[in-house]
Amino acid sequence: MIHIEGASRVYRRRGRKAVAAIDQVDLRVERGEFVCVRGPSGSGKSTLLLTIGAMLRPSAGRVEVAGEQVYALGARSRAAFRAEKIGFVFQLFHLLPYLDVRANIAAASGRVGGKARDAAVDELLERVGLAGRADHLPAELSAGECQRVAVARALLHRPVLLLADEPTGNLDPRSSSAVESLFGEYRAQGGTILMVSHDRTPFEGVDRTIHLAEGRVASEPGARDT
Amino acid sequence: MSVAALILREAAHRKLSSALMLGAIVCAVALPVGFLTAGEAAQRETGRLMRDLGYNLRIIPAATDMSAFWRDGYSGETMPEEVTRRFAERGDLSYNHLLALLQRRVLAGDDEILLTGLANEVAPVGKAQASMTFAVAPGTAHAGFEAARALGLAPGDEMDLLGRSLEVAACLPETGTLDDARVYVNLSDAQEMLALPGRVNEVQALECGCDDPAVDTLALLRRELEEIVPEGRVLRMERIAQARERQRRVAAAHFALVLPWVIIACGVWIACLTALNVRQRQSEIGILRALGRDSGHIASLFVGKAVALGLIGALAGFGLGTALAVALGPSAFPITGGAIATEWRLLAQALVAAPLFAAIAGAGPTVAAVAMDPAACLAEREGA
Repeated sequence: MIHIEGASRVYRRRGRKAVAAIDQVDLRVERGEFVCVRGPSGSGKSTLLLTIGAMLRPSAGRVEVAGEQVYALGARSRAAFRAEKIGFVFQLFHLLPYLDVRANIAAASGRVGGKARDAAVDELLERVGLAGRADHLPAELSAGECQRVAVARALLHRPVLLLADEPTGNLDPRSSSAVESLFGEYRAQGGTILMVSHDRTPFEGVDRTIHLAEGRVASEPGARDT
Repeated sequence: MSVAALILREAAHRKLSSALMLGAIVCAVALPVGFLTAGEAAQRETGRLMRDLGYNLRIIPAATDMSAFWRDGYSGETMPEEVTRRFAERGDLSYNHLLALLQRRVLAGDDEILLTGLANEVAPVGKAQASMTFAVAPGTAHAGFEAARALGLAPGDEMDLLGRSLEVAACLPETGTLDDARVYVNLSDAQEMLALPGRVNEVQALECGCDDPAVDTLALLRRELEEIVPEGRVLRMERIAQARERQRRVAAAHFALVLPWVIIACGVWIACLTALNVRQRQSEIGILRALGRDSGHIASLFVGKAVALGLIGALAGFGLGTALAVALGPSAFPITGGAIATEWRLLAQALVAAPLFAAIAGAGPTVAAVAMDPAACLAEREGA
């Protein structure tokens, strides 16, 4: 599902030393796997996730996702690739503030509309426990509820790859458990998950954990993390 | 969800921000609309004020003894009254407001007055305008200030002049010119009293403004006169003519200088606001890009809002600018201010210009944002 070779992302600012957020990273994730990337703040976890999600072009290296070299695609094709293949859960949710919960979830399916989409949104609202808050704006929701909306949005178009950046980082235990449950259901349907987390709290269903330090893969124990 | 629905939801959500931007566009449109609408009145006002300096052309018989003319104030020769008709039949002349006169110094009792027969003013074809002077009805007289005082006349009095009884219709205010010594009567009455039927000794006229300073207008006037009234000659009262022409040009130049700056400043104002608005919403572009929306969709969302606000702002700004010009114009332009009216062509121009400025301004930062990696757009928000 994911095949990265020598991926680096270097940030250069005038007058400052260049910083490699990720440095020569090699990574393979198989279809159906649930991989957790851990590491301290600033270790490059989010950069790696964004690079895999076709949202941040690497300075060097090759990034292949779902059989596509995503950065060989044009901007329009890459956008279509994201819309079709990838679901992304941001740590800060990134919900559109002027759309209610239902519209935020539906916003992910720009190319799909009609009754099928509405039914899928309703189903996801039930599964994330927000059916009663479908008409609320993000500002009227708790952090846990926002994150569940973000997860629902990421899952609506049935992506083959779910990328999640600290999906439970801001959540209470109950909300964390709800998110874990959603990931489990997605996984059970054959989905692949790559999740970033900075703490060592175990997450249910993780197949393996990769540790990043200073932009490099420090270790890949391969052990199950549950 | 359609682009229009997204635009409406965003605008409704950010009511204050949208209202501020709309308000700014309204002001930016109202300013030039009001300026231009009032400017039309200013130009008319200048024209009227210059016109009120009086007739600046005197057409007299070619055979006039000029020494006697300057001494007496009128020509001792006459020409046919129908010369004004020859002017009136032409529409391509540099003359307007043609007024035929027959003048002679006559005795009224022991006092000498300047009897002035006045025809109704005529205009060449297609140049008809309100008369610059008063009309004198047959059988009546308008007494100049000194003449009225010398003869002891008051409105409503009867006066005898050259065996003719006339009713004094008006006594004119002091002008400090030869006109104070005149007694105006209808041209036909003057012709009868002076036994000069169908004759006049002067046609006064107003030279139409010539916008090209390179044109020798006096030579042009004389050419036209030679063609129409070969028996006449034209004198131009240079001080009045030059003052009039200079003032018209100053007014036009002032308008031409200020207007582009007003329009440019308002255009830049709209552009900056739109660009700022798009810039503030850059993270939204990042979210939409992350969700896989293509750049066309995102651009239509942002530029669409700019265009929508531009259109609404143009309409409201046109209304506001026109209303202000109509309300405040009369105090600034007492003569023509009342004639300030809606300039519909400005509405069409505003409806094109305001959305265009907004769209161009919005397109720049939008295109720049969609060209960035989505993560970079989102990072700007997180870093903000």
